[in-house]
Amino acid sequence: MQPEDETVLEQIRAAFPSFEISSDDAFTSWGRTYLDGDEYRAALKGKHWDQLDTTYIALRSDALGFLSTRTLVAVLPAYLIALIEHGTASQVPGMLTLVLAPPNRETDDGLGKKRFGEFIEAMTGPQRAAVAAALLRFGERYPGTLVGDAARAAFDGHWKAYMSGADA
Amino acid sequence: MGVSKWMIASVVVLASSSMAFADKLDDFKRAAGETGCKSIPYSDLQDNCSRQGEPMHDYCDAKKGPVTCDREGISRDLTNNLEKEKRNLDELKKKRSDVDDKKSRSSDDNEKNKLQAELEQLDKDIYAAGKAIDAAKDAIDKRRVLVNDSIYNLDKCIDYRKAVMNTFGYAQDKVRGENDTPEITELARKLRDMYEEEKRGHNLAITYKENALATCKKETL
Repeated sequence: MQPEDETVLEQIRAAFPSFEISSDDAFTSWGRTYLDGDEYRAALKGKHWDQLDTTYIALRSDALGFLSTRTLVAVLPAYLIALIEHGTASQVPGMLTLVLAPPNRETDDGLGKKRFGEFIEAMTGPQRAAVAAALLRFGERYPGTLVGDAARAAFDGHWKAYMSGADA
Repeated sequence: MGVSKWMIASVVVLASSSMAFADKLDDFKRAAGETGCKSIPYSDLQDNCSRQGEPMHDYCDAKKGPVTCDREGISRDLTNNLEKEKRNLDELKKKRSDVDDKKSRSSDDNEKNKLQAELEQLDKDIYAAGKAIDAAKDAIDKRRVLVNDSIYNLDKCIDYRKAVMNTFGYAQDKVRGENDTPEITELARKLRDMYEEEKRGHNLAITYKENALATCKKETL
């Protein structure tokens, strides 16, 4: 890992405080039909984001599309860390870059405008800045790849505005 | 007599209808409180969902083999490396031939000894270059197997994911027509809305795997 990666990892850890994740309503809003919801909730139960089983959450990256906004923000730092630490060797970037992509005005893809808006609102300025830094770093490390370019597009299309870390 | 038979028949029909409604209401109440495939109130679709879910996990969770090709460019790097090793071997062979010629033309024993030592070193280098080529070919073979297996598994994974999503789609279509009682109608509406809202999650999961498949296809050797 390079010094730039360490800087981003420190920024993520500083922006996302460690507290026990409330898993009970993890899939209530958007993920009742997710087939692995019960198993994923059990994996979150009683854990802080930095205590999550990284292999398991990477395997279940698809959960990101079904999580309630509050739980999505709660587990996000674990996925951002995996993005930087494991790069393209992990299954995380493929799903994470889809979820962090701002919805297209016409197609309303990704999380969709409503959920994406809620997601942004649920984060603090430093947390948004940490997401921006992680996307930028990942895009720089893997230019010309599908996931690297997706990260860069999400950064340029939305997250860049939060780089200063101010609560906008 | 005819009238009482008709009345008995009517009561039987009404009783069995209300029992059927009660069973259906139970199914809908249960589905409304459940998750995953159990959130479908119809046993046939629920079973279908579970039947598709099992192989979906087998393929998508890499239990049947790899489902990721890492990043684009690895196959190209391996091919370039093989070419580099082949060029290196060609250069070493040419150099050996030149040294050998020089040695055969030389009449100076000291120079002959020196060139002989150089030839011995070149033979070692040629042997090592051959081994490097073997290793590069081996790496390409392994990459080819990984990419081909991943493409196969991702194709299957996507098919089963789509089948699961479609099952919820069938359930959505079916609950749309449910209006036997006000309570069933209300529960059906809630389930229909839920299936509609959660399509996005299923679509994201499919796109995620389709992108992984696109990466693998670019890596085909």
